Amino acid sequence: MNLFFFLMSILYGILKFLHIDFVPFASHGYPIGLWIAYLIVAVVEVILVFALAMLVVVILVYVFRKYMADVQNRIGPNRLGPWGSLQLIADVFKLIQKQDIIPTAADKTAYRVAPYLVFTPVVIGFMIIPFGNVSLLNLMVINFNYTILFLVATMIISPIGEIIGGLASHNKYGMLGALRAAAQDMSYEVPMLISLISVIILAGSFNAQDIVIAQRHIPFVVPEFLGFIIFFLAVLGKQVFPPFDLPESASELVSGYTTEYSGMRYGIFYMGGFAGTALASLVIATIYFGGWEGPIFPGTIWLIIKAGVFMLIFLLIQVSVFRVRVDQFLNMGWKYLLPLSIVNLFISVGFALFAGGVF
Amino acid sequence: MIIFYILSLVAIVSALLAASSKNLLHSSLWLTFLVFDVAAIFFYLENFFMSAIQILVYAGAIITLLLTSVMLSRRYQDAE
Repeated sequence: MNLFFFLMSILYGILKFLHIDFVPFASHGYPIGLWIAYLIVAVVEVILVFALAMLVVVILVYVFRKYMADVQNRIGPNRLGPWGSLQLIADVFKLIQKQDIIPTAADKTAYRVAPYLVFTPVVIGFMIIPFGNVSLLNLMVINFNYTILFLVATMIISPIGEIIGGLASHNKYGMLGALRAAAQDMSYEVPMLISLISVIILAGSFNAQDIVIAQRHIPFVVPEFLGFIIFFLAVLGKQVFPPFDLPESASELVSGYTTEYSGMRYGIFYMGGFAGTALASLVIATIYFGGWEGPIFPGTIWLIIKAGVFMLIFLLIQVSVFRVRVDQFLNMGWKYLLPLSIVNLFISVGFALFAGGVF
Repeated sequence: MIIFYILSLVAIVSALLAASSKNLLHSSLWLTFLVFDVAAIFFYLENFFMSAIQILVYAGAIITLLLTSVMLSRRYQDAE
């Protein structure tokens, strides 16, 4: 059972108990009678998911700043709250209070739209991750047959926001950043999708929940190790952090597509980047490491552990590896990852044909 | 049913704006909006596969290529 229908049925029961009659929702294949209940549950779930995403971002940014400070022999945030843990909340208030500067030369509409194009898809992505099973209750906001495609779709929209942001600034550094973002975007998306297709072939389903259940014996990282490496590198290319932070590279392009952004608009870009890291580690844990499957502990804890390890690996890479050149990244994408992902596709087709029952 | 009509109206209006807008960047923004709106129509009609493919192919690939070519076009650079 889905979380949505669980909340729905509770609300439905309460309304029945109170003898409140509502106009029935236009019947459209949904097993739901009351549109107000539908609306309330939808709004509550969206708020819950947004709060979850923000919580993850706050924790991740705090860990990142402390860890980076440790690596660089500094102390890091240490004033607000225990061990400086409230620093980020203070930073958000500071960013909100800042003057809202829009450059006169900028394309105003596009300049305003761009940060939301980066941030919103990531929050939508959090709705589709299967967070675990509590007996019959399926901790997932929406569940339908093609959820894994939607997950990848949400990861692919955000580069558009980066390109539009860089273009709309009418700034030469922003423009160069947007060009690099477009080139980088095209070179990692294709291998990422092809390695995802081989997972779908092995699992035999497009549903994220089914993909997790298909890994109850062997996680897909074992038959799909090559695909995992490709997906990991592609997802690393999606992050706007070193070693693949070409669109934003601070030493050459000032700050790339975010050069003209300041205040909360820059904050939204920043949070979008960290939320993207969190979403990417959740996706990797779900499709290659068995998601919430695991012994002893409840499923959600397993998912948090697995995704947390990947978030730490991303942070580790980010503070310890230097930036690659543009041509190196494009070569990696088109000349190595793409052929390797096609090889991996054939390998997984072979697995599905000759050892289909095992996985 | 009324949601379908609203979505269709939005799609038609944004398509018209995409075709008639003088600014190339605004035109491609309206096209992006149109792509997501068509995906929403597919989602409303419960054709989830088409909806996902609409976003992946059109928003992921075509809009990115379109924006790259807008960036390199003479008119956009002159406007700057």
